[in-house]
Amino acid sequence: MSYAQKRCGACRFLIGTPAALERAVPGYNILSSAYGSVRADTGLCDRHDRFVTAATEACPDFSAAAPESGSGRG
Amino acid sequence: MSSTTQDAWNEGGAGAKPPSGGWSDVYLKEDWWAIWLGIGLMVLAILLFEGGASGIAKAIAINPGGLKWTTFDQLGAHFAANGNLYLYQFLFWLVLFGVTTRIMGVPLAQFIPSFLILYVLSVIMFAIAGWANAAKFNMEAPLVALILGLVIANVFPLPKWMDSAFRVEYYIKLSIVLLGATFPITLVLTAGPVAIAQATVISLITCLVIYFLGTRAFGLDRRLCAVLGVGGAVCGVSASMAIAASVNAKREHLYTSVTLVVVWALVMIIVLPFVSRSMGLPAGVAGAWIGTSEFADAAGFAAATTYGHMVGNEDAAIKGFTLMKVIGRDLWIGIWSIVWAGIATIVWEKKEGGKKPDAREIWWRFPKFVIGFFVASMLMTAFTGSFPTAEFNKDVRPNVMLPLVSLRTWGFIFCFLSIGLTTRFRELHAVGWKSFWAFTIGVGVNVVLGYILSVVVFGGYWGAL
Repeated sequence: MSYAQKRCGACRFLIGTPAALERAVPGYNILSSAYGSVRADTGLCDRHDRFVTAATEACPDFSAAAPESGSGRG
Repeated sequence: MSSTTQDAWNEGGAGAKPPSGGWSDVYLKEDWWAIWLGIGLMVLAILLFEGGASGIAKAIAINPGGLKWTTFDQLGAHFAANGNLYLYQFLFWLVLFGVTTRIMGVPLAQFIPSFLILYVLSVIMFAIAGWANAAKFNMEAPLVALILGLVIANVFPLPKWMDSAFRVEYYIKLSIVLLGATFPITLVLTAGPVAIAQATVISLITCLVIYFLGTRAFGLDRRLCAVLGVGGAVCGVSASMAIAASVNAKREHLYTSVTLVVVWALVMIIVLPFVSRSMGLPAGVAGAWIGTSEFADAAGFAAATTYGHMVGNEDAAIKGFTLMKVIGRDLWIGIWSIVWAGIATIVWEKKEGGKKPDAREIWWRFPKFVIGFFVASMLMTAFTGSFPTAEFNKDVRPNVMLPLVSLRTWGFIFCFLSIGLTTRFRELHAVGWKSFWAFTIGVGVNVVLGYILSVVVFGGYWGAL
């Protein structure tokens, strides 16, 4: 698997969809939104409890998401 | 996780894809939908005007806010006479928001019932605002909407899925694009540099105060302090999220920012308008002060609109706020993102995380709806520029501008209600005293410095809006 395929965006530990992120941080949608441009593709790594930029970061604990789940967990 | 290995992996990311869906962003991000809808509504209003069918635009934009009713009979007669128009309007908004949020991934089965409730509550808010004595009792629509929403959300156990239609940011972004249609581009160009200069001072000083207080005086985690600093200095939770990715902050760090930003934003929505009135500030000056003090666009618009209603000059208050906050401070998000990514990577120990700074972040994280604001302003300025003043006031203002202003006001009311309806205090995270004081002192600096800049340094300038 190439480096590009192992980025956080393709990892099963990533909480990356807008709806999942808003569930993961209650109150986030009060004065902000996971659907906005400012978030870009920031996601939450559930393995390391870290916010990451999904398309440009990676780590050795990568574990491929199921193909049908798209970008990380939703 | 091994830090060396982590860095090696991240450094292998040269030439990485942009952190977004690329072109798919134009239909998956609400910023872009706000642009498409806002510009589309503006063009529609112009086409209807040119085709002699402005009545359609006025009918769709109906609201009871200007009734000045004194008896319930008058109010009832208005709704009896226009019931069909409100039904069409509801369907109009439902289709626009329902389809676009569905494309972004929000289930329609959740959106429709939730939006129905939001629409009915909004009609009630407009009706209250249209009461002839509303101003006497400080029943400004934004404040009433916020308080009603807070009461409902915290007294009645609204299911979480109802948040599907309580999209605070989407409504405020659409309203800002529509605001651009009534905002002369000449004002943006002449006032922009002052707003950016003032925003630069605020952004730098507030962020650094929170960061150094938090790290040096209170010994807090520096990632938490970076998240709090930018949240207080730029645009609240949205900025905090952007910086959380830059410094690889923890969930708890963002959670802390959410709580502090929400609590202080709500306090300032209520306090700033009354303090401004007690000081007798001109509307444009108060708008600029609110723009330098509030964190979130939605909260700031609530405060600025409230003050505008109080002093009978909503236009100047909104202009001052928009120039200061939307054009001045919001532009700092991308810059802070790469600055903190650089600090995390180059200055801090690499083992604490962080990723290489990338100048493209300025574009990736740019609040795109601001582009819509500029485009709407330029297009409408070009369109209206060909009309003599008398013709503009007689034909264009009532048939094009006022319907757009009314649609914008609907967006504001949807937004202000949604702030209250999504604020469940029981969901907010407990915050430590050190975090509280670091952020709160930053808020104080923001407010005092914002006052000095808006009233003393640039007061004459903002007062002329």
